[in-house]
Amino acid sequence: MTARALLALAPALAAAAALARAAPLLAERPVFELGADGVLVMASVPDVLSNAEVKPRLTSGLTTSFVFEVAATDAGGRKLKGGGLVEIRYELWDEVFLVTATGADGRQRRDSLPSLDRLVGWWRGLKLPVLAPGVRLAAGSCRLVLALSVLPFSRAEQSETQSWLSRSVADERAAAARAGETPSPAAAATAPLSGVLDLLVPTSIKRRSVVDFEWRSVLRVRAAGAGADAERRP
Amino acid sequence: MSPPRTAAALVTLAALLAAALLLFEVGARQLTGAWFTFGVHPEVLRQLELSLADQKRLAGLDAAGAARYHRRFAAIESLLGRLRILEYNRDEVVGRYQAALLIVFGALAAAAAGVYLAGKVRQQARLDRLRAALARLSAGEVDVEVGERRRDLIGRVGAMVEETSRAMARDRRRLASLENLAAWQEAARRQAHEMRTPLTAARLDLGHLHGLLLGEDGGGDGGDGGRRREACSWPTACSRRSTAWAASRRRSPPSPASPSRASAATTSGPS
Repeated sequence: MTARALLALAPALAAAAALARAAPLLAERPVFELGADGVLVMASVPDVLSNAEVKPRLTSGLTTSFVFEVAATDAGGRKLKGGGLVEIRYELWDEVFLVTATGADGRQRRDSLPSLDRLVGWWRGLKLPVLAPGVRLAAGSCRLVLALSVLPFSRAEQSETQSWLSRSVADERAAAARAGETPSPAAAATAPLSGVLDLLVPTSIKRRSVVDFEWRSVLRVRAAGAGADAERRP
Repeated sequence: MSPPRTAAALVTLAALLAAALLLFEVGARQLTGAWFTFGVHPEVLRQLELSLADQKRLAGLDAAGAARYHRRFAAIESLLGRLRILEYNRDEVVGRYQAALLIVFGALAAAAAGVYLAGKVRQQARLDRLRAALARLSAGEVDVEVGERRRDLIGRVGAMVEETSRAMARDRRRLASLENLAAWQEAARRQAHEMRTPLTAARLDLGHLHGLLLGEDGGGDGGDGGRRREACSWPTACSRRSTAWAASRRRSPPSPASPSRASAATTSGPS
């Protein structure tokens, strides 16, 4: 087999490897159910915390964000969107996991968990409203797509780091000005470029997902007041 | 491509490369500043983690200073988190930085190419003006102005064309003057010839008369004899002056005098 053929096969092999890694998670699927007030609730979320890409992030000291996005198409063909957010931060001093779950209803649930096992248990028992309370699904089959993005840090930490970088650059300039340092000719010539770079560097701090998951499910919605069943279809 | 053009292209390319290298050097220094290179170095992160553990251990050993260790712990933890975020976005930062450099370099290259092309167009226009001036010069036009004031090669060639045009105009004026003078000379020569013929005849007649007078008087020196001698000597003197004037005109080359003066000289000579 030539090197060119190997190169052509490399993406396919990588995709197969990724699929093999994610296979256990893809085999599991979350359960959707309608709550007492008719709100669509997500439950039994597969254990992504033990994923090799996710687990090291949990103890980094940063707030790992799990962003859920739900796209629902009810029996009436209506397309609905919702989601939720789970933030997990390992408190290094107290050595506990601080978790915050925010549902589509806006309510937050905070917990402090002493170990990873307890955290995984909490995750499995998590029930999170993913559609706004006022949204009612039409009776019949409702197709649901749940996408989960794992982000390595929170939005607040992102903003804080950006401002810290901006402050660092400004402080450095101010210190140089106070010291009366004369900029080199090259630095003076590229001063406008430096300004652009100073702007580019802090704004290049972004949250990109470490790993993404997606599950599909079908929820059979009964007539009003009759509840719902989630089909377990591959 | 001719050698000068090759040299110009090479100089332009070298200037562009130098500018790109300068930008990259300056940018790389900024990019690899202490806050980035050393901040996200694994050893730095490792030492900060160890420091965190130390603060916790110290707080356990020194209960009185636990709050202080906790504050220090929080500060280190915050710094560690920022550096981890920075490390996580390193590729993005470098990518943006390289994109900015690429844009700057592209703008510089475009500007250099624009300047080069503008120079070529301007040079072609100057060459066209030079060619047009040469065409006017070859067509016989005098006092041709190229309008080149620069001191480069084309400017020097333009100055040479103008100088040549001026020299040609000067020569033409001199030639016209000489032709005019030659015409006057020819006219004077003809007039002198026409005057000399009757004068010669008159001189001969006067000589004959002179001879007759001398023969009749027999050399007497009375009052009438003196007047006759004076009368007889006048044609001889007249003839001598005429001959001397003609000789002098033949000896000396004609000066480029104005036609009016030449005419005056010609007409006043014999009188």
